[in-house]
Amino acid sequence: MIFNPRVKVVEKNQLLPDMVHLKFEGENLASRAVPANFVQIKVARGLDPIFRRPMSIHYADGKTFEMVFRTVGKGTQILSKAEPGKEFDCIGPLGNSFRLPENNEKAVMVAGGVGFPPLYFFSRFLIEKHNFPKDNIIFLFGMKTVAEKPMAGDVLSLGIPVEFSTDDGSYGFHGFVTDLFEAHFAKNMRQEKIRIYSCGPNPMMKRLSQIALSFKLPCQLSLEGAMPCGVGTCLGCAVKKRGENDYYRVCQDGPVFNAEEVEL
Amino acid sequence: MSIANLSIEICGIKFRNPILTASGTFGYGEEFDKIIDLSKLGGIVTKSITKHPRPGHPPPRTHETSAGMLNAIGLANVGVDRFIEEKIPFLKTLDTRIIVNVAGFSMEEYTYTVERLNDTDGIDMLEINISCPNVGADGLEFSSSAKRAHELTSELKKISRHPLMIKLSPNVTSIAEIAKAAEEGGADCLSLINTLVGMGVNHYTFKPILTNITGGLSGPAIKPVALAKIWQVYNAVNIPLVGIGGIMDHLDVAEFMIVGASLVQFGTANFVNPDCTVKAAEGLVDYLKQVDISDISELIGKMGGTYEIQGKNFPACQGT
Ligand SMILES: Cc1cc2nc3c(=O)[nH]c(=O)nc-3n(C[C@H](O)[C@H](O)[C@H](O)COP(=O)(O)OP(=O)(O)OC[C@H]3O[C@@H](n4cnc5c(N)ncnc54)[C@H](O)[C@@H]3O)c2cc1C
Ligand SMILES: Cc1cc2nc3c(=O)[nH]c(=O)nc-3n(C[C@H](O)[C@H](O)[C@H](O)COP(=O)(O)O)c2cc1C
Ligand code: FES
Repeated sequence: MIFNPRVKVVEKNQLLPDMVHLKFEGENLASRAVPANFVQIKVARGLDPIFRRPMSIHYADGKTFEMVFRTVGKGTQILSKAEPGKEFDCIGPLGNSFRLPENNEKAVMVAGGVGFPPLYFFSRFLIEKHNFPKDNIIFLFGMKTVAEKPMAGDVLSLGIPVEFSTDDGSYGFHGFVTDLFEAHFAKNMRQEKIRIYSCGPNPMMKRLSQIALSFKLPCQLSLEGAMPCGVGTCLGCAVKKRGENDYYRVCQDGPVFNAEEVEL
Repeated sequence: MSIANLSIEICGIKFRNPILTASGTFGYGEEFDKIIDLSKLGGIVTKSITKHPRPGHPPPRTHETSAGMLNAIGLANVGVDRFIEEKIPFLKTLDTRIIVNVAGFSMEEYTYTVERLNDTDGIDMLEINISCPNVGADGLEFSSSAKRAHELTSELKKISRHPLMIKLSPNVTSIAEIAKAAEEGGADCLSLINTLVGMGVNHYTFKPILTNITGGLSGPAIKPVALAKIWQVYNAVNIPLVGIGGIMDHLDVAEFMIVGASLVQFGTANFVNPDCTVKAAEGLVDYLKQVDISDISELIGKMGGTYEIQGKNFPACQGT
């Protein structure tokens, strides 16, 4: 059952002035969630806003699940005011998951800003559930500026190699995370050895898929976009099928797609 | 008092309860089968199907608005051939009424699809979405004039083995006139309303929000408009009506029936709460107990028509 009418906030951390981490109690949801799954959370009781908001699951441990989000508009603003004890109506877990890397492959996570939650969950999942060697994961984390570094706390605590890029050069590599990937990794890695996993703003994932396709590297993208229903029936979350005059539904056919399947 | 009777019969077809799902908001039933018990519904109306498959419009296709949404999906659908091959076998297994919504961009496209569906079992009724431009002729929508609506209805009535529900557009000067034309053309029942034309614009980029520029407004925002249109049509025709527009719960269902609907369809509400239809069916039982009604059909048109309400027919200006 995907209905979870009463998931309760049990912990809240303000990671940045505009970024919140929430932990919820909700066993039914938490026990079934896998990386890249998302929930549709109803932030307002009334009609303002009317639709639920899609949020990736940042981590789930069987009894609790977490999300990390940036405040960008009305819905996330309401959600950011939630304090422990507050209950929400959540649908989920929804969506597909990432394909596991082969044994001899390195998993390269390419995260753009608040796109990191599914990649954090996946990294932790690989380490804890699949005994994947920590050194075989590389986490590339793109941020606007050094002040955003607190959002990377959970990722840093995994004990895997993490490399940062900032748009303004205030920390780590100066440039976009896709530039970091291209400059330092794409060229040096033999194609059969790496598998890319990414989540972030669409322009970033578009650029990353161009790079991955040109180097013939396997690359999976967890896509975002407005989702009125989240269950596959409104056809609002369309993403173009590459080379075809047709569309996938991000919520039902994804959110994870191979880079060669979609045209961003 | 024992549990009230929720079943309704129209056009010789018995529905378990008055609750149907609206076309375009429930796919072909498959997704929701995993989420709710479809046998609790009066029926399912499937996404509009056309002669040829349609990919739909490029995104963005939807936009959230105050108490509603705009959509310009572009009638994305698998086409009638794949519908019959891939979707009907599943729909047939369901213990609920199946209403197949048909759209077209010329008279020929509608007749082709309706004829193809004649040979198909497992369909209880066809809903005809007439809010489509007649690309083959003058490009105006079939729903936009009484003459066109009459022509289309009578053509389809000649060939269809299934009862016809004609779905009316609110984007017309007089919906009652179009309703009468469809009735005269042989419509077995009417459903209303389809979405209202609307649009959104981005005040920073100066660009339209939807790729298609305009879209259809739906959701609770349009409920008062829908109620008024149903009441107007109820006063104009003698065939059963199916109410649509912003219905969210069992009390909305009751209101639509009170102004004249025999059945109702839930659309946008499915996106907000996927179990809204099942909850509404449950809620109706309690509601009927509260108002001391034992058979839900007693609600249909209970408010009364023009004459009963106004006492006498005095002229009035709209809105005041
Ligand atoms: C599968 C999925 C997983 C997601 N996971 C996360 C997550 O883990 N953390 C997180 O912070 N956000 C995530 N998002 C994005 C999040 O859903 C949006 O930020 C949120 O819906 C915005 O709601 P709002 O009411 O605050 O903003 P609105 O008022 O709806 O919009 C404010 C601004 O944000 C833009 N916007 C709205 N929705 C989206 C969207 N879905 N994607 C990109 N831009 C959008 C609008 O164009 C507008 O400029 C995810 C989206 C999807 C589809
Ligand atoms: C995303 C979406 C897609 C729709 N697609 C169709 C369609 O294919 N055919 C049709 O006749 N109506 C379609 N409609 C209109 C609905 O069936 C319904 O008439 C309208 O949304 C009003 O009801 P509501 O306010 O309950 O949503 C669609 C509505 C929405 C929101
Ligand atoms: S959000 Fe409705 S189909 Fe994906």
